[in-house]
Amino acid sequence: MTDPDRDDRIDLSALGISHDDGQMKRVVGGAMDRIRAMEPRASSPEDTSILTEVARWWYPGLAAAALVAVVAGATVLSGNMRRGRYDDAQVAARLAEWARTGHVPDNGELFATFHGLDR
Amino acid sequence: MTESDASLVARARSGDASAFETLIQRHFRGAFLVAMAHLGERSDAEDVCQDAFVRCWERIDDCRDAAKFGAWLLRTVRNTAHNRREYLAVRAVQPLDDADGVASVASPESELDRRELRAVLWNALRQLGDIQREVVLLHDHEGWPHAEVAARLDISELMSRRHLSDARRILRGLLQDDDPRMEAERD
Repeated sequence: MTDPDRDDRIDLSALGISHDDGQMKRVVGGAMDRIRAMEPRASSPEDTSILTEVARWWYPGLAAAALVAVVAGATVLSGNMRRGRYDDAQVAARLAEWARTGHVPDNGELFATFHGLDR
Repeated sequence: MTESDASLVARARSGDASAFETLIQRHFRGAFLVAMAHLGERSDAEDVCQDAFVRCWERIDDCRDAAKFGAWLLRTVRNTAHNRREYLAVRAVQPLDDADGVASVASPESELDRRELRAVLWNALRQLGDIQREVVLLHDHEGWPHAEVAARLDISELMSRRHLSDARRILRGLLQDDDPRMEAERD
């Protein structure tokens, strides 16, 4: 898309500041000479590196771990399904026991109780 | 594929000077023009750019949004140029004992004309606000679209358009009784 402002622009070429590769090389080169002559940056490079790496890989790491957990869970469930159904009566008995004692099951108990049920 | 600013900043933070060099090459032109907008002298603008680049390397951890490295760099250049301008203003009122001979260098007539024309333009530009001068240089001289000007100067596109419009109106008013040399230069 064209920019309508371009047609109305003021000619500033007489300023004599056109693009100049030599100028960029000279200025950037001068800065880089000064930078490379410096001591390593104030913060410890090792510490900075570790922190940077942790920060960089934190979210991708979490995503990868979640993916592994989902795949592993699905694999376990499908394996158990293939092994056959649990007895519904056993499940019902366990639920009744929890209700009677007021026990609040944790994730592991729930998983073990309903393990392999095709519901 | 071109590596993103954010990725280059991450490498620079871990001490990779070549990644930083790529960054400042990428943003050099904008940095130089912002420095010019504040100083009007090529050599001063170059010095300021070099100082600002070194300062950015030293403080790269302060660049909170690595994807906006360009805007951060230009802000540093602007601050450095501002300090330099104040320093030059103080120095300008002091006698320059060692300046003898500089003004006596003979220049060809065409070079004199060019210098005068440049001076007319810079005098007009100096009547603008700092941000107006930056916008008009980046847009009208460098040809950047408003989206790019806005991103680098960390302003909205609307404000970029407004600053440009105001700057052009002021400049046209100042230059309308133009020195005929300006027309000659354009031809």
